[in-house]
Amino acid sequence: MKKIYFIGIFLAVVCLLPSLQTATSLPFSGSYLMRAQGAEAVYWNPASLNSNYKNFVIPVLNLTGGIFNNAFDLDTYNFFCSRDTLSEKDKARLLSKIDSNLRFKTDENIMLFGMTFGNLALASGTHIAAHGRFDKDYLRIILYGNEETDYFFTKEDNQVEGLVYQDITLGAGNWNISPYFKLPVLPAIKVGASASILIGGAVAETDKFIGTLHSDFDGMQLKQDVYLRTGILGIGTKALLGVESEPLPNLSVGMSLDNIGGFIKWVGENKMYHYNVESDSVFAADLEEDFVTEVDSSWSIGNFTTKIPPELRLGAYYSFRKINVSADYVQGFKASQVTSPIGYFCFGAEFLPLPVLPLQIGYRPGNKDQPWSFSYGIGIRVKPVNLGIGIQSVSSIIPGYKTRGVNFAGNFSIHY
Amino acid sequence: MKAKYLIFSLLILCLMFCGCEIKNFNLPSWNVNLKVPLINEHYYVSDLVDSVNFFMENDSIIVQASGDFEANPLNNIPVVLLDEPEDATLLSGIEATGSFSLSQAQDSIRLSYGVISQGEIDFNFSGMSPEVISASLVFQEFRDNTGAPLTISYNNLTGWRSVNLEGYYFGQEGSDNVINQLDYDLHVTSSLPIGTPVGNLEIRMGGPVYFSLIRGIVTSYKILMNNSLANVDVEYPEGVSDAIQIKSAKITIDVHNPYSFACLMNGQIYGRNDDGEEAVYNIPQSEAYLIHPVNDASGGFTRLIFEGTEVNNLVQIMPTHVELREAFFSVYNPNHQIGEMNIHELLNGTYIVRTPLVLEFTDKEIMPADSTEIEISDDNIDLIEENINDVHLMMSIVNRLPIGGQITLFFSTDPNFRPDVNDPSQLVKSAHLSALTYQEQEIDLNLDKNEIKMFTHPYVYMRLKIKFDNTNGPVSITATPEDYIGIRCMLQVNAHIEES
Repeated sequence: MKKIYFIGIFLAVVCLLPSLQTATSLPFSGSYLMRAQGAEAVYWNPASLNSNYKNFVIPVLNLTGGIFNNAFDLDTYNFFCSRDTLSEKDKARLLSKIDSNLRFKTDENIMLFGMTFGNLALASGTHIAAHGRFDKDYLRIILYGNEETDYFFTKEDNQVEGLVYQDITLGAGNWNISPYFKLPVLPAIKVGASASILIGGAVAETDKFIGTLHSDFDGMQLKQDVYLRTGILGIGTKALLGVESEPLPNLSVGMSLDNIGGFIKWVGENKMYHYNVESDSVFAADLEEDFVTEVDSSWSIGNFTTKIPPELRLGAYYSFRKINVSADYVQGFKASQVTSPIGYFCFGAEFLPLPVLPLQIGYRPGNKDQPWSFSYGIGIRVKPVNLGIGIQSVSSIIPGYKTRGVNFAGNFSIHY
Repeated sequence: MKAKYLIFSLLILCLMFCGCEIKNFNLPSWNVNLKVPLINEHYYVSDLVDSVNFFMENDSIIVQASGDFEANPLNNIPVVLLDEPEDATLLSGIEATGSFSLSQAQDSIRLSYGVISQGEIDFNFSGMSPEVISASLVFQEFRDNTGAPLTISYNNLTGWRSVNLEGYYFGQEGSDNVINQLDYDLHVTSSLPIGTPVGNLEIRMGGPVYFSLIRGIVTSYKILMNNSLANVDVEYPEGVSDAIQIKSAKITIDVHNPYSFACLMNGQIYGRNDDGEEAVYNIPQSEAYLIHPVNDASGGFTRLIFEGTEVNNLVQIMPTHVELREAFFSVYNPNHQIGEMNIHELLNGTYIVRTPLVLEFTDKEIMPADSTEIEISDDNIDLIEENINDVHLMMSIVNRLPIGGQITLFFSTDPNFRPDVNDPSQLVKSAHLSALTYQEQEIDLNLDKNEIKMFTHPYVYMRLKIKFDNTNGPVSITATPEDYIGIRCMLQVNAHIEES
């Protein structure tokens, strides 16, 4: 059980770690399909690669980090910590913040290195994706006690999962395919593709989670059965196809399909951790007896594969004088550590009061996975330096007491 | 214009890094309701059966108390053979035979055989002529262990002398012929002419002869009992004797008779309760209660069963002390049957007072005199003081027994407290349990914060009071699988959670 706790804590810490990602996307709340240029385009839309924009992403100086959850904000935290005693109303307030479970999540793309060579780019990044969710009923039991007769806990509301992997990605783009359609009215349609070699660092997956608590005159039945699969060192691949076009002046649209054939096969030290605790018909009068059976074990397992399901991204970008706006829609096809089947929109805008001073804002509406968020960024764009900082506030327009999470980002690259 | 943009940008920066107060982590306290199943038990009446005091008989519970009894050791059986001195004239040269009449011929014991353990026969040769050469008297009925008859010889001594009869056998072993007279052979030799009187022989027995074994006809003989063995003290739960009445009872006496004579049991069974009430059951003298001899088909085993109003009267006073009084067995032999008694074998037996659990409950209260001490550890005291707000004990009870009542628990910190519902220093909790309920009865006992304080003392004392519902008639306690009390308890604790 200690090992499971350790892994859970590790995953939680991972969520807090400052990390490198394509930090330029954060101020736009991820609406970056049509904005990515240079080496970053291999992760967003390689069709954008072109010899007119060359850059070199500086390692270490591209940082982003933060944490968010779906329920609690700073105001709630301060309220909780300022109370000597929680009243029934206070407890109801805490519980009302959670829908069905309390979720923590991070999904980060850490770009370690990137460089363009004409229509080609080579980049490497580390991806850290982790999330944890805990059933609302756990908190209900802590706050109110076991007032209900039955509690059921399933994997849907209780799991910790994490994935750390590094990629080496080569992308190519700027291939105009419109001439093949032989339609003179067609604007240029550029396509691109990238392929990645994935080097798995570590993975943890909740394989099975069943929890029940039953308490009535017939005794107390308790069952907690958790299987957690872990792997260290894996190898895999994925591919990304992108397309973009500018059907109208200043308006460009695009689409990408990421994670094509994505998988990581874990070939290193793979283990299954099993923790089981069960008791049946327990009565306080029998507590002298050995009423709980507990199994805490781990064993090595063979190679296994973590699939990275495809994710479709649609985007549009429009620029007018000193302002540009973008909108993306992201739809995953399956739940995984890095994708969600629940689609979401994100919007970004940039205002250039000075050509060297971009001010950025982004908005991502909430969905079942994640609360809504606003992002802000400011940068300096002086050739050959391109730098910026950004912040994202979850469930609050600006970072404040209502924020359920913040992400910070800083980027630095040289373009030439 | 550019300054505006700069100010705007700085504002954005301020927004991004605006400070928010983040309080130090402090865990508040709160209250939770914990439901803890306590017990789920079925208490079957049949579980009472221990084959010692509680037995099952046709689904009914039989309660019994039993004691052993044993006759006093017989020691030796005294039989008076000669109650008057006898004499015989000694005639020279005459071999005469004669007999002395045995007094026992008229007595309650008429022997055909016996083993003498103690006794003497006195004789006196008197007036003997000097010419007497020899004189002897031979009793054929007395033989020593070699089979030689008892011979009394003249050896020129006069005056009373004795012969010790210990170890002599009287009569023929296994004989069914009752010995009514003591035959003798008299031999006298002298130098005087034949038929001349040469002296006189006197015979007497100063007391009874004691036998360790007798065979013959015994028509009256008292076998005394060791009464102390038959005393039984009965303990009832405090006050229960006031609250219940036993409706019927049966006394069973099993007797092992080692003798080949039937007997009758005499005496009375005496009972007394703590209130001084007494009741006596006189064991009836009737051939219906004859104790069989060992030599008939019963092998000496007899079961006497007494029941009826008198027995019920004895049991209904709920005696705390029972004893056999003035008890003895008397040989009953109206047909003058031959039999044997051996002092090495004792009449013994058991007596069993059995009563089916057919009871009538009155509405009197039962309260044990002693309180139960509950020790509460320091840890638990701290826990109760700091974390427990109130406690609900929710009970769901199915009572399939025909007995119900009000149960009251009294708690106090005084070990010598007297239960009093009006004493505010006492914690009193009461619940009623109805009889013969097929639906679960919900009983909810609540302890609020003030009442819980009682249990923050190192020692708490509890006393129990039960007031049965009046059954208005006898009820039978049976022991089928449907006769049980099912108790399910759930403890609901409102606990205060705080950082320790």
